[in-house]
Amino acid sequence: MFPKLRSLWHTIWNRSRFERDLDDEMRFHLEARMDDLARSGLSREKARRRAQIEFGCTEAHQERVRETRRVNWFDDFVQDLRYGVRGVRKSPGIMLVAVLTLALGVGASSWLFSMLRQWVIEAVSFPNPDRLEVLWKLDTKKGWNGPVSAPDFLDWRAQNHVFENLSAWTSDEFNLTGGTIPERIEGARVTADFFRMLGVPPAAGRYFSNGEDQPGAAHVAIISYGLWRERFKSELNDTVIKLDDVPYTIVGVVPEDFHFPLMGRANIWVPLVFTDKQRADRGTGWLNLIGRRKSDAGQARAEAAMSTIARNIEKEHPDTNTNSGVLINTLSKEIGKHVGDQAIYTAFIVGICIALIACSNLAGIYLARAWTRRREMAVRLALGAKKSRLARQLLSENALLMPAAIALGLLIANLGGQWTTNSIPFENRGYLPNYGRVNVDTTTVLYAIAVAVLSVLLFSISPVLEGYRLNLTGALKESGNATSAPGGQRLRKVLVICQIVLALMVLVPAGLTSKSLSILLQADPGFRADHVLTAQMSLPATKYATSAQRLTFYNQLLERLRSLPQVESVGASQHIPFGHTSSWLEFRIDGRPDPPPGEVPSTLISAVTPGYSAAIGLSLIRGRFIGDQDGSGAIPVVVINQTLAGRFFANEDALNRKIRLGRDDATWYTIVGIAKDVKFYSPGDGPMNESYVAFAQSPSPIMHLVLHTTADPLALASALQSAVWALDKEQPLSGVQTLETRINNQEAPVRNITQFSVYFALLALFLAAIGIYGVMAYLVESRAREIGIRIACGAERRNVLWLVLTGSLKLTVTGISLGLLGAWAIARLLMSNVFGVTTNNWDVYALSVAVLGVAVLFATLAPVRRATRVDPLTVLRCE
Amino acid sequence: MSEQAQLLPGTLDLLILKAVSLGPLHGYGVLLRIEQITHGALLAEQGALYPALSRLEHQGLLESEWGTSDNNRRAKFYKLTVSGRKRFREETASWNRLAVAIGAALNAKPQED
Repeated sequence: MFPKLRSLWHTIWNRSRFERDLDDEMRFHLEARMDDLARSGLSREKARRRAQIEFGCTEAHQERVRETRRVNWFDDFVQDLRYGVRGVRKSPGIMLVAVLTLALGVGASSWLFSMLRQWVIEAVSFPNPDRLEVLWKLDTKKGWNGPVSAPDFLDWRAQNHVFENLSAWTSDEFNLTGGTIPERIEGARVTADFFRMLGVPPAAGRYFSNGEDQPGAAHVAIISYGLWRERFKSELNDTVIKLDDVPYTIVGVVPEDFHFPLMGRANIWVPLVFTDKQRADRGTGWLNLIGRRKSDAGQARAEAAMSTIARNIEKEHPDTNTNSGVLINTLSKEIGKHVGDQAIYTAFIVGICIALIACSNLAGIYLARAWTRRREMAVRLALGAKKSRLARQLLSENALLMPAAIALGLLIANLGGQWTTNSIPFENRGYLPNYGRVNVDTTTVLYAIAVAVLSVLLFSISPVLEGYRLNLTGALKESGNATSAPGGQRLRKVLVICQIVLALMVLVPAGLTSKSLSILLQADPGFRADHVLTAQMSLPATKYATSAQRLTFYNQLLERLRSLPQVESVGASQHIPFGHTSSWLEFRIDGRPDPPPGEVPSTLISAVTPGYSAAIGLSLIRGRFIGDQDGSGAIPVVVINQTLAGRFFANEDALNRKIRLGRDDATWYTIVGIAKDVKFYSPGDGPMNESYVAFAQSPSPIMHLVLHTTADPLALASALQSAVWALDKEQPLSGVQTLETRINNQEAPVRNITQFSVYFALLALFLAAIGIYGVMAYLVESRAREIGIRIACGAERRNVLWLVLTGSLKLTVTGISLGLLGAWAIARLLMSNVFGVTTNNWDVYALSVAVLGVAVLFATLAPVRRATRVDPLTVLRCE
Repeated sequence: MSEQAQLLPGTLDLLILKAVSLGPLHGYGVLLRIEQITHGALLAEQGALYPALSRLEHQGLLESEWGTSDNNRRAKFYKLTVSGRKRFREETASWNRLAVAIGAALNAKPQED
């Protein structure tokens, strides 16, 4: 099959026999020839000589025979390997540093590469992901985009010719009952063609068929593979489940690896059926849209076509669809928003920077080794050794170092990946591709190998060879090791500059993210986060159809909770800060003209019980909060926040003024109080309009319970659970978390990025300092003779110190100026993902430069001081 | 000396294949056989035969075996493998084509119109 390989193998395996045979064969030839010649009349001695002359140089021919078998190549390799092992034994410390350095570089960069590839580049696991587009309704005047109303969606779907499918979906949660424990399960309502559009076949059963999202259709559901296996033992025989007390038949199961990150940890899907009211309401956008673009329509054309449709709708419905346009993003871009793709690109660049710093350190180590071996190499080159042969020798020596570094690097990448996943709160992982996991797979391994091989090739072998070429004659002529050739020095100076540049490119982003986090942590949230337990409940409409029923249930529950030990105060609110739910309503102020369509202001709104402000520590600025007197029969009241009051009642008293809430609600609400602003979505929120109405006057089925406790809030979790089940044993409770956890989870991405970048910055600083120290030590040492002469001639040590320092100062300044440019470019990339960061946070740049400057100074100072302390006579005597 | 032609580069392999195609031979035998069939064409150095033999064996065109020579010495004998025989036929054919073409080219006379 492979005669050459087989023959090489035989040759190597039976090496001594091969050599013996070669000798025998040629000896036979010579003897036979000698016999023939002797027979023709020559004397034996003459015949022997004649035969040898005719044959030529036996050694040379044997060497050529070996070459045909590539024996030499293998021999050299083994020899180099032995040589390498000897080198490692002689200086294990240096080799250990080399392996660790390379491993760190390989590990950091392959970890961040895997993250980039698995979370950003291959974020979408569906076929032809580039044609999966997410559509938003765009306000062309304000530049806002948001979800789409049901009638708009239906018109867009019916009128467009650029999408194969256009589906709508909305996230939902369901009370799954019928089993042992009632469960709250994340899921979504989707139009019938949703799964077919994504293009992956079901694992079992079928997907929704066309009519199933129409009113009156039978209730059907599709469930996740995990839920199917755990709860239904992988069976599917018209299983009926109860979702919010309504029976649904399970018709299909999605594949095991199905994950639509925009839906988080969705485990159950039901058809999205529009009510008559929803079909008529153009003003409320609530649908997420995703479509598969036709292959012959480009994204720009699709966006233009959809915008035309939107403008036509605007002409027919000017009151609701003002300034309307359509924004189209690919699905991967939308997922990227959750992932923080810019931050990951930044992290990837940081990983490359670290790998490069490691590479320059490696180059430093190799240059130092090369220096000690320069005469050996120069002699070999002068004697005619080919450059490629020397390169091969260096390569073989690295063959020892690389596997260890790659294995260690992959271990680092794996640990890093696990650490990444663990540092992301469980709730957030569902919104990340691959559920937030970073795997070391074949591609990662290949990448790690490529990085290691490239590092060694580009940064160790070629500079070393270049150095030998440059100072071949110099190295031969030199008597000692006191001077060096200029070529090597220049290379080392470039190394120092590179390390400074790269270190700064890692330090500045770390500084920026740290600053961002500190801004976030300093921001006043407007409520008390400690000792607060929160939970979410949703009363099914079937059981609790009327306002009175909901009111009774919650009042009874709050009463029970209030009587629990260690509970200070109890309240409930439709939405709580960092609770992942919110409602916005348009509002109009009594006695002021109606603003034109599209410019009606809106406010965040939440229905709260009287105890809420005490439970969450909301401060009141003026007036009063919602109280017990605001019952269902009393006059409707509202509490607004400072921002709303400041924006709309700047020069007048807001108290006792009246506002109308929502487009259709004619009720006037009287303002009874002004509360302090609350950070609602994120600690980095800007000022927003916020209002509170009385739960008794608008009883919402979905409420968040808030318990202010005297002890550890989580200790009350089971008591809270039993209080709910004592009232209704089928009522699930979800999101039982302390408020602090909710805030931490919300801040986690910023915190993670900050942690990452700070650790990486320390790593980079450490590596760069070691590298700069190494190179500086070498540079100074190579000037030891010069320094000795200067001191012997009477130069002050101080002056000599200064002389050497100015040399390194030039390098440092060059490195820092280039590094600042690079850092500025990275900061631009980071800006969009990190709160409060701009490219011109000069304090951060200054601090980074200072930190690096100090590191460089120390790395330089130590060898310089040592050099000037040396007795000049010793240095000079070394010659 | 002058009537003994030097071997053209690349022809040594073909001549070895030809020599061995007539029956198993040891290295010295190959040399003698080539001298015989080329009426004394010279190898610059006889030892140059061995790298060529080794290369052909490495390529799987020849196989070798230790045996006993006419004068009762241990010698390494080479013979053609199946793929060696195939290669020999192909090379012979292409060499003949080339020889005919070159011969025709060298014998061509300028045409007069």
